[in-house]
Amino acid sequence: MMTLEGVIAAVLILSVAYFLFQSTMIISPVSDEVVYVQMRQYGQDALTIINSQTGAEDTLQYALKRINSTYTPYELLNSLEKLLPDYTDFNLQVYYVNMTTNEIEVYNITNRIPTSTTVTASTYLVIRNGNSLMIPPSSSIQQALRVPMPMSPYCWR
Amino acid sequence: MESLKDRGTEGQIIITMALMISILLAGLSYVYSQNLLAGTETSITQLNFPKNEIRDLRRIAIEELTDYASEPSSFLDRAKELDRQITTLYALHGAYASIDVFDIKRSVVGGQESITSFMVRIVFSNTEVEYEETISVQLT
Repeated sequence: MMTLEGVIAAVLILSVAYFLFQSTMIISPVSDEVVYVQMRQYGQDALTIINSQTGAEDTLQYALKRINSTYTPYELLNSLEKLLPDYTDFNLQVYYVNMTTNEIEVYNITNRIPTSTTVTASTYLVIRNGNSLMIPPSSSIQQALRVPMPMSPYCWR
Repeated sequence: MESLKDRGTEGQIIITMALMISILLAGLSYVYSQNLLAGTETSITQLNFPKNEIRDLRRIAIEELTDYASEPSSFLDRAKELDRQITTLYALHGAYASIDVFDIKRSVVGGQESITSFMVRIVFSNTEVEYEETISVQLT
């Protein structure tokens, strides 16, 4: 004799569950955000480590003073690969203000194709007395640089 | 008084239980969605907060200007050029940043001019954060 009440109860619970799922399931890419934050932190830490004036070959300062079409900073890229987690793919770019044209120019140290799941860590630094694209030997003035590093994990390709 | 076992009341118990389960579901779902929102908000804040940009700006201002001060004749020119470059680079990402040097104190010892101290004002602002700091740098 309880059939009618049973049916009503079932319909009530089902409709509540349906309503709730419909309203809360909109926010789903939370795990992505957490991974982004973590990756950016890794990248930022790696860039902080290699952004130093020590004169070691794997520092940004050393590499960016010498970088041109013939010099590729393998030591720097090797160190970055060791510092970042194994599943990470990264690009390294340099933004600088061209002294003669007064425009911002970009130099890509690596040329990997970015994916849709890219997150970028970046650092700023200043170099002086170099022989590279950003700072020619004749230049006596300093050059401020922005070094962004877009990173993406392999497993999401 | 009729007992609960009697006909006519068991149906009410079923409905009441269903109502309780529904309220419980709604409550749990609310807590769950709040949790998701908090997580999303936290990660967005962490991704957007320009902590490293400000740290880099401070480091560049103090390290570079201290170094330029060893040549008093070109100090102001180089400081201005640094400010110009920094402002341009930061503007690329929607932020305003500047390094202003003022109140330069010089001393002349034995015909040789040197800078003894200067003040530097560091400004950073974007849509979320406004940061301003004035530092006094003492040399020698």
